[in-house]
Amino acid sequence: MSSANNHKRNTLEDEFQRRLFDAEARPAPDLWARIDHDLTVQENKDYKKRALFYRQLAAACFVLFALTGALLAYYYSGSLNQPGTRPGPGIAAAPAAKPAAAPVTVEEAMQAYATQQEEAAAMAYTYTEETATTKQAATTKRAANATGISQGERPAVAEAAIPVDGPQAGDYYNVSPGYSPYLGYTPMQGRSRGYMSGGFPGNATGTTQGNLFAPQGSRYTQIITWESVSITFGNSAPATGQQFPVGDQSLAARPKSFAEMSEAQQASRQQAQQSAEAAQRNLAAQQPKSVEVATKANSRWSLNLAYVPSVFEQNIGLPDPLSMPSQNSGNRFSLAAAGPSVNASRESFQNISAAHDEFEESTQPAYSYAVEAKAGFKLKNKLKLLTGIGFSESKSRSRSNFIVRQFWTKPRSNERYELSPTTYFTSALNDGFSSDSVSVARTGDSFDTEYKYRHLTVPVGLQYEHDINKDWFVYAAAGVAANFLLESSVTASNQEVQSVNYTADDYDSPFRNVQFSGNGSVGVGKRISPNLTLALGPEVRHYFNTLVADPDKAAAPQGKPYAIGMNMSLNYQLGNSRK
Amino acid sequence: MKLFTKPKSDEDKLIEGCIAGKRDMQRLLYDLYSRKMMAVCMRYAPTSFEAEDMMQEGFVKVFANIQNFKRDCPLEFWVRRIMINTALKQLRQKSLMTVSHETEEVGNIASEGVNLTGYSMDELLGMIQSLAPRYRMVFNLYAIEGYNHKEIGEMLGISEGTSKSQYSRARAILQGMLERQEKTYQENVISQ
Repeated sequence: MSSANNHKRNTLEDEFQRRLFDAEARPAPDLWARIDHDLTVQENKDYKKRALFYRQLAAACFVLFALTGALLAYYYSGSLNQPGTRPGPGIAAAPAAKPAAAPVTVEEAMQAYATQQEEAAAMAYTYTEETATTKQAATTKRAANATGISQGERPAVAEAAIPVDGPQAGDYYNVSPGYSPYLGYTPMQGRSRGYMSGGFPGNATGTTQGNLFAPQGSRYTQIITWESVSITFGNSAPATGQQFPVGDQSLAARPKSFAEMSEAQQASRQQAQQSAEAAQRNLAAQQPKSVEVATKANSRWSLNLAYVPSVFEQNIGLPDPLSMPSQNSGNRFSLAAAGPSVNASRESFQNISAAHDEFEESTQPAYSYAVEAKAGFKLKNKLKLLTGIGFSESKSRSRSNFIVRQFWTKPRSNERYELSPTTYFTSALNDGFSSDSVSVARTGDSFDTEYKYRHLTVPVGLQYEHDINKDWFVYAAAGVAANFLLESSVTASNQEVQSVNYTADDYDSPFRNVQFSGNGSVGVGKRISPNLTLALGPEVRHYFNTLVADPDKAAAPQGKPYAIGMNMSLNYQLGNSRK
Repeated sequence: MKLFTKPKSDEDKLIEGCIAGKRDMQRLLYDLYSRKMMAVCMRYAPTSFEAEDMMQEGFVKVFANIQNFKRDCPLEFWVRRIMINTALKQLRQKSLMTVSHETEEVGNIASEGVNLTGYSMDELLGMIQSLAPRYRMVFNLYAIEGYNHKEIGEMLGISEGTSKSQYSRARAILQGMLERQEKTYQENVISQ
């Protein structure tokens, strides 16, 4: 043999293979103990890893739900407290519309009065300034004071915020008798007591204290309406020795005629109105920025409602008829019996084969559906995490001509009795056919059997969206779900055949209580409004396990079920996500 | 009792028990294959201590991955393959895959009429263990496991030609060992 052929098989190789391939050697006695230790360590590691994963998952779920709850609470409370519903600084400075009817009580009157203080202020200043200037000049000044924002000389809000040392709200003070639609008639003539809702004049000089038309810094003057003032002036005259006499300045501010006063008031109101509108515009200009800031934080969240009509394939077969023994040759009472006897074996075997073929041919998916409510969180610009809760009802049906009859023998009396006839499917689901004998009989009329499974689902998934244009987008979604079995049933339309119905906590149920599934979907979406989108696309849902809890115990072959459907979902974006 | 299902083989039960993590089933599997696998490991390892390490790691892998066993071949082959892969990995980790240049002169040795009947298993294992790691590996894989040179090349990350040349050298070394043993034996017989 040449050296060139040294790499080829020859008798040497055969001899070594013959001697060594199946050779045995005794390992060290403690080797198993070492392996056992390694396995224990590995199991502990796996357990810890799994425990850590579940802990993290639980924490993530908790955080997610807490965030969702907090966000929803914030969102809805925020919508109730919109700036428009609560008076802001600018709005407070603007004059309120005149009330349609006079308030009934003093408190109501004062409350309403406070809302109109700007109007009163305008009037008060009008008369104060008229002592030295012309009516036109006074009107301009009134308007400037009424605005209280741009002028900045004496803003009403700033005044309201200034603490006063004098008498407070609720104190009585002397005013000239007259009528105010909010205060009512003052009870005393000449030196009557009124009710003060605001502050008191800051300066306590005798000439200005209690003066209706006290000039700068007087909160007191601002609470009197034009109507009140006009009537007061018509009916009262200053008296000497009065405790709080009306000063000359006030008297000098007395208008020349009601027509002038009316004009002044109209002009004042128009000016105030314009100022208020300007203030509103300023406010509106500032508001979007703050709203944008608020909604930007919210815009990562969305609510999703999905409806998925589908067809469901339960993927459960029937036992192969060839594996059924021809007869029970063993001892019937032996624990090691080979199997139940089959009555009228030839006919039954034919029926078993026919039932098997019939089941395979006639079983078809039935209308099934799933509904889900999910909260979405935008992870990236186009990627969204969705999780929530759902419900699914999966159905399948078949038509059959055969029923299974099973018989038991009572041990003591040796008497045979029959169990309720069932469908071939039901018998094959669990460790069926465990009776002493089985008969598969043909029925007169065919009957329908419906298989129904209801699950509570907890889905978690990711959705990727890509814009086609302004209104349309495409999406791809994938996720997993935990499906908790609520109810399962096999219902036959034949009265003779026993229908079975299992609830979630039914011990006898052969079906799996918790089932995990994966789903994928692609489709298109349309933006109905800036916040609302509608998406549509096919969805495939595949279960990771068989429907039957222990497929090894089932006589029938068990596959993993799946459903194919159409996903229709509505997505509402919280906040203003799309600009 | 199931009427329509095939009765499960003992091997199926054993596998399912191991998948479920039942320690008694794992022990059973170990007892079933430990002797054969020990012999396998001893062929690949230079010493019995290293063979035991190899086997320990191999069985832990077997139990950790038994759920991936497709049942398309006998379980023993699958376990054996894991042991071989473990041996390959350990040898790689220990950087023993480089070929040591044997100083021994190897000639063209005819292999006709080789009969190993007179050798004990320990002697044969000793010869294989005395080979350089890569020669030992290639020889084991080709002569005993039955892989071809292409497969060996893929397993070891070498070319088919390299595998052939290394095997050729390993074979020649073994032939030389056998001849020396034979010569010694004959000398002993003559002297007696």
